[in-house]
Amino acid sequence: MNKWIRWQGLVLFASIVGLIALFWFVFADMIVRLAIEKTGTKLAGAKVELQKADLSLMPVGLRLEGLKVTNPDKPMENLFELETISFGLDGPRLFKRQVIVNEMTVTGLRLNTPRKSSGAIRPEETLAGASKKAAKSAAEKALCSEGGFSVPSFSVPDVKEILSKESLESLARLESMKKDMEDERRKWQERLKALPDKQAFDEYKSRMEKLKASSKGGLGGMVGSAAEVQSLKRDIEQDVGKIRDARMEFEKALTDARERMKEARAAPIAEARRLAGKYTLTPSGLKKMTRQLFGLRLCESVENALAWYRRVQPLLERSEVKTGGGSKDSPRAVKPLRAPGVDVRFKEENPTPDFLIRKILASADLESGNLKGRVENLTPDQNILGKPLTVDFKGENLAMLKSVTFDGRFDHIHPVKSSDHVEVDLRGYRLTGQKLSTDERFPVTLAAAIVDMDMDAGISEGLLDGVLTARFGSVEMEVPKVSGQGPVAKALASAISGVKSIDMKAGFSGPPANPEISVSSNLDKVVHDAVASAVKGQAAQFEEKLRGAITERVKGPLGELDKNMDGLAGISAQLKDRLDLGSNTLAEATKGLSGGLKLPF
Amino acid sequence: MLRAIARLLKVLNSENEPGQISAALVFSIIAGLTPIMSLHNILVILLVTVLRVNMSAFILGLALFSAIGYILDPLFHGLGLAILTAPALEGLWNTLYGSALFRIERFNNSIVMGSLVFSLIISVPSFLGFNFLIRKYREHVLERVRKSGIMQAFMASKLYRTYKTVSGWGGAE
Repeated sequence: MNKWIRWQGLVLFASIVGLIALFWFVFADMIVRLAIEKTGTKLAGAKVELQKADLSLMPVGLRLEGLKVTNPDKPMENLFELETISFGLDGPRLFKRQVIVNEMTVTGLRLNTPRKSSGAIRPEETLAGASKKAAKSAAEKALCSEGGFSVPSFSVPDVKEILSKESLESLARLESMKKDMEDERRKWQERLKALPDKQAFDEYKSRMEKLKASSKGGLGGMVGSAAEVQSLKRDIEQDVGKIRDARMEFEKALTDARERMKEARAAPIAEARRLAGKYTLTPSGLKKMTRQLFGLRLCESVENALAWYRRVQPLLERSEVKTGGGSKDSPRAVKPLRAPGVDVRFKEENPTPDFLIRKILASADLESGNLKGRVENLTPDQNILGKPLTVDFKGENLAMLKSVTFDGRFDHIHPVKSSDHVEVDLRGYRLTGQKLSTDERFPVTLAAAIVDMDMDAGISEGLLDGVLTARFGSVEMEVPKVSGQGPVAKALASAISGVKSIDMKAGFSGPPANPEISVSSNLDKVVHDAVASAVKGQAAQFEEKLRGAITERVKGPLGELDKNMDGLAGISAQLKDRLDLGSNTLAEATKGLSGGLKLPF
Repeated sequence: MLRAIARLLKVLNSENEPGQISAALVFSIIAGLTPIMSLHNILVILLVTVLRVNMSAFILGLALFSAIGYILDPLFHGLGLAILTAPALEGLWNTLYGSALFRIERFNNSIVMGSLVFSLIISVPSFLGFNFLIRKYREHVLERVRKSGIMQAFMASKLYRTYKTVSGWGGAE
């Protein structure tokens, strides 16, 4: 036996094992603390510090004190701090590498506490690295890139300056009309020359006299005269017809010209209205006041909420690497957080997640007071556990608010059909000193208000959908004295400072990376109604000035057009005279010639 | 100090039959190729300390095969994954998955499974191969190494003289 066994080796092995066990007993707490700090730092992307860790083996449990997790976006601030975390572990499960916590107690949760030193780390020390952070920053920038309050311009611009910049459509139209009328006048003057005139009708009269004289020469003379009479009558009728047709055509052209003149006279009025709308504040521009004042704050709140959601996502679902089997019971490879290779998960009699905290009892110390709550079924393997994560927090009679409740349900049992839902109910929150606009020309501060808010939001199958209703009561708005900005600015300031309550409704929908946010409130109507009349009055005055200036400009061309119209009226009179002459001549011809022909029998 | 080092060297080189050296190297293959913090390596270390195998060969082999293990990880991963997802073995793995030992050992990890199976497969051929090589080395190469300049210089050193003295006390070579 001694040939094969080295008994001293057994002693050596036992000594080594004993030394390791002793080392573990002595340094276990420190090892656990360093492991939590190292792993937490990698996961959080910023420094994680733990004051003390106390591991117990009988029963198996851990107590952590003074946990601080730095906000990766603000290295001088902690995302949250915890006074103590204590929990027991299921010992037998630990041997199966399953971390099952039946109940965890968390006390002294505080958010956004200041740090004495920076908690930033190098990007390569994180799991995600800098690229993810940069991508997230880009998404956030895109989300709230609309910007905040922008004050509409209240000063009315100079009329002369506007007219020097703008090309007047009315003037151009007048010039075009003038040219057309001149062409028309020339055309009709030419046509008049071609139409029968007094001279032609005088000639007809001479012919008639001649015919009357010839009809006294007996039967032969009568027969010859009848044919000439008919011919004469025909000629007169033709000429009269020409004049009549020409007159009808001309009257139509004259009517068109009068219509155009009417439009030309009205053009300066329409032009003034157009320019007034372009350059001054119109009532419709004030409708989105709620969005201007509250939009950015709301956007930042949505952004913060989504940032928290992204942080807790790894706790809701585990990324999986499929190995091929499609059925629920076939082996599935699951990528672990740290070790190389992949762990293959097989079918279990009583399937249990590798990491599960069944219940967390937590208390949070916020500025406004203490919140108590519970979190149940925290595991990235909800598909194994078969239960969703639920979060309930309540606070009552707090310093800054009457009550608050937060209820959340995060269902990732079927990852493809995941559904996350959150309801927040806030009552009697005392809001003070909220800057709504930092525009130097028009700073607006919500000095005080008591807010009741309900929010119902969720992400289902990758799409965000939410509604927020808020009532701001006992509102005190601070708007500075606005001088030198005109009546509209004063009316706006007066309207905003007179607001005593605001009923606001906001909606958000779409992909979480870039959701659409809509917001409206009674503030829109209040401001609109108050400012509308001031705006209207100012706009009317400005329009009047513009109309006067434009009318002055078009006076000359309009005068020339009137002259052209007079010219056309002259042509009309000439045509009438000629027609009358022609008609009289025809009447004479018809009467005189038939009366003068007497049969001998 | 030199005596302490010499004693250590004596212990390490006390078992120097070809079989003892080969066995040590085979154990180093298992410990080196598989992840060092695996449960089965406790058994390997126990066997190395308790059985009469050459410890210096084990230590040197462990260093060498640990480095080789990193390089062969992709092979181990592929082999391990294939074994773990083989339909014919699904029943066996399902049964073992419920046991604590299986889970502590992390048999369901592709690297652990692949490297362990690989090292067990090559253990017997490796043992025979090492045996053969050691005998051949002693027959044909050892004398030339002893006569080389480096060896002569080392044998003239104080460390070697002390080692020879200590070896002489134990009666082992």
